Amino acid sequence: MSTSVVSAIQQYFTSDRLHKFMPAIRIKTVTYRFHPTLYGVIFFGMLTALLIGSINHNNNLGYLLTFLLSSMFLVSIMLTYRNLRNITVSGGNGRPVFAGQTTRFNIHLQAREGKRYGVVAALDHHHRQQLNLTHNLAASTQLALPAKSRGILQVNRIFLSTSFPLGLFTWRTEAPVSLSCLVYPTPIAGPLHTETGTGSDEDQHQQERSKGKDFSGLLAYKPGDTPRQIHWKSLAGGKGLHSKFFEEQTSGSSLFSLQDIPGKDLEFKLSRLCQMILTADARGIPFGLRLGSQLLEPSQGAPHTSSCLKALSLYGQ
Amino acid sequence: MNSHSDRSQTLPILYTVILCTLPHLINISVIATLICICMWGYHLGSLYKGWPIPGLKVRTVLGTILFIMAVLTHEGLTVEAFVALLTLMIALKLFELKKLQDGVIAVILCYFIIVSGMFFNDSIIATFYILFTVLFNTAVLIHIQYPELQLSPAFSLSFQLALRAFPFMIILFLVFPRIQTGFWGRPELLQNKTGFSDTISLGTVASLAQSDKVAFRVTFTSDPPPQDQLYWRGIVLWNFDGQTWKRGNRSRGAASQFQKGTRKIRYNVTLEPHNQQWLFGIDLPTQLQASWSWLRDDHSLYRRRPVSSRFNYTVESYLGARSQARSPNIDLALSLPSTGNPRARDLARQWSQVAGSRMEIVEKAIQFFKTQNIVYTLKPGAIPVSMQGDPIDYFLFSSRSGFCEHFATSLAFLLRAADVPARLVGGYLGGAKNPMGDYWIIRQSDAHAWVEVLNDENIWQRVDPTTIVAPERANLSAEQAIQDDTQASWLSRLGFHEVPQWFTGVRNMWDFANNKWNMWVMEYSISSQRSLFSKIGINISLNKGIVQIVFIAAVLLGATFFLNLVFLRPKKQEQDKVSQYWSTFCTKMQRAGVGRLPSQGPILFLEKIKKQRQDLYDQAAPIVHLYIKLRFSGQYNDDDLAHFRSMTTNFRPGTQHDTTR
Repeated sequence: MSTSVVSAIQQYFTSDRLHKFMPAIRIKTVTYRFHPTLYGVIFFGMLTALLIGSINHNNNLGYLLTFLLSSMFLVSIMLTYRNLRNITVSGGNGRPVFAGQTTRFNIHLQAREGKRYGVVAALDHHHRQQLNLTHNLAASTQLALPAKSRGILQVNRIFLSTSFPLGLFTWRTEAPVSLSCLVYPTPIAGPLHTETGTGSDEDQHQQERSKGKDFSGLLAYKPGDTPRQIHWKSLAGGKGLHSKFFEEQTSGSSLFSLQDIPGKDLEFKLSRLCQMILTADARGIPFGLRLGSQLLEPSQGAPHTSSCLKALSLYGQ
Repeated sequence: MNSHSDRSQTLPILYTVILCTLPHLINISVIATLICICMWGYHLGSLYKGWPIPGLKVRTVLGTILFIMAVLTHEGLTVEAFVALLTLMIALKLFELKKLQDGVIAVILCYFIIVSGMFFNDSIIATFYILFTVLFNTAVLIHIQYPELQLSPAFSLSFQLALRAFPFMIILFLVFPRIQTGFWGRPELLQNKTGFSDTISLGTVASLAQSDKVAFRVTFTSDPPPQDQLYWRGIVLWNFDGQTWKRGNRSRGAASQFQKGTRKIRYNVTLEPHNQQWLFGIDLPTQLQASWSWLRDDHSLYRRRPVSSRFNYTVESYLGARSQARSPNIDLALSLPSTGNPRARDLARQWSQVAGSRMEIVEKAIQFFKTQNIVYTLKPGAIPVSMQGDPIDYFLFSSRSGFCEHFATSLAFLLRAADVPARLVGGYLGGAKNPMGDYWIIRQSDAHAWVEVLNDENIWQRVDPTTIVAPERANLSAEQAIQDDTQASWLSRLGFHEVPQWFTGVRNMWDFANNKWNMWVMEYSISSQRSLFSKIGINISLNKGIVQIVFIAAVLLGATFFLNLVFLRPKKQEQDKVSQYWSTFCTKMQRAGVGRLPSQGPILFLEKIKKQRQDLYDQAAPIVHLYIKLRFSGQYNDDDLAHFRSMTTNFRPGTQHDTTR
């Protein structure tokens, strides 16, 4: 019970709510904010108790120590600020991820002067990394950021904060960066739809596919394989989950097209396409992609897959 | 809990707890001290030997027991009990260091223990020790939160912090308004109980006189009186119940009239806290300047509240003056219990039958003391059980050895039994002048008791039976006046039969330093503030003066803050050399016509150089690559840095191909 209260209070002190109340200070075009930590509030309470005790006992040693501790409290604000200022941040673009996954950016912090301890870098308030800029006054790390939707994830600022040395105050600032990461749509499993001229009837496609491909063996089940592909006999025989693998009879390739995917939701359709591309890539099937007027000729290989996925993530943006 | 990293985290906390508690161990009860040490030992055992950590239930039960124990062994809710409780609870908290948060809170609580040292000892040494523990505790606070910073750099950081904080502290200390009387009652401090209590029975003064503690210090503003006139009157006792003398309930009227004496003297007294209400003044105090204090009708000095912290007051005394009696008090000064001490009563009755006046009886009593061969000693021995009801008979007719209170109480008893009004006075006799500082130190060893007798003109007159038996006591301290072997002090056990000269010198010097420390720092009060600020022409009794002081303080604090900001700049050698050389390189490139945009990384910059100044590429490429290595690989050595330096400084983009590597 008490621990949950404590953690709730602690959460409040690390959350953004408190941060909004505190005044912002602009020093040379950089905005800094500070607020006390939970320990700072406890320390302040202790100082108040000590001051009341000193007044009540009219004790000069008490006054002396209370004022020393309060002054150290005050000065620590400055030292904490010193620990945060003049830090430049650089970083590299993150590797592409699917929407819903977490991307990672390589971040490099460089202090202009003086060693820094306990500098917390974060892209959002859930993923933070504490760094010590002691070695060569620099440190590198990877910062995580969840990619919510497809497109380009643009990061323009990094949150930097520190409570060093006493941990009673936190200073925060934002460092400008220009980082980006490509976010592919979330793959959603479904049957493979290949474009064949003008026809768009589902049954027709299905028949065509059965005709056009020969059953050529079994492969281990992969997420995204349709129930129709699963080889139920081997599952019943206790041999595990396997999918039927159809070798394309024709030497021609498939063309995935946005307009062939049933459904009205664009994002859903892109997600289906994404899974198709992944499946095709995994099976080594050459494929092309048609997105409205944009056409990527059928091909194979990692660069082709990447450019197709990129086209998906940037479609309409 | 037993891993090595954990130990390196919790050990500093244990260290700081021990360092902060150490000076308190003599203040709290022996049991509390022992339990504390046992808990520390067990904690060490759990760290090194893997002894089990007590669970939550055990800790709760233990905490409750410790609470009760702390209250019971320190006579209730005294300051000592609070300190013992705090000490024990932090020792118990050491078993709960599961998370960083527990450790940080334990360390913050240690500041409480440190500051509670203010109640016990504010001498120079104690203050410096306390300052050291503040620094150490702060270092531990830094170290446990940022373990990358070892304890010794953390200590120097906390020293830096304290150094920066020092000017703020001084300004706040000087201008913070002082309130003489606190908000509410202060918890009792057992340690301050040394000194006269409000009763005197046989043996109480003798035990007090064995303490070497300072009772008070005096600075005379007029010529000091002769040594044998230094009768420091404190408590006046009226009631005797056969065993103990007590103050009794007397009229609370103002000071009575007095016969003028020979000479007026003024002096300033700094009384060490003794948790009693009375103050001390030379016989006979006639005027008192002190807050919340007044002269009672028996010319004793009273304060409204017990003196629980060092107290400063000024007294004017009239040497040789004698106060007049008031009629209701005369009956009180004659009352005796109906039974007890039959032989003394018989003796007194004989005197009163023969003598014609009160002073004749007093004369007879003095003669009695002179002829009885009574020994003056600090250790008169215990009264046997059979004589418990007649302590004065036992002293006068059997043991014949005693300290001043034996003489004084029995004289007062004899006189009252002979129908002469008499009262007992407790205080100090003498004192030693400190040649270093022109002030007098009165120690507990100067404690004394004497009698005041109502003479035939109804005027109270001092009679000191001790100086009749041992006349040298008037000019020497009790310790020096008593010459028996039982008084082997620790010094004589060490081989010094007399107190050596150098020891007295050192003691005087030390007391002088402490006295100055007390005067300037520890007794800084509202009157000190008044005189300090009047030196710069500000009267703080006016509203305008207060506004001026607040303004000056704000300006000073602001200036200190600004200075602190200026000195925030780190040392030169801590500057990042790599980026320094890199920026020289970039400037040189800029002059050569290839400017680097702030967003351009080194690789992009190199590509730009290749495009725009193909001729410089061979020179620039190793510099850029070394920069990338130094900056981003995390591998860094001084050779690389030196190499980088020479390459960047030797880089001449203006001339082509003159530096070849």
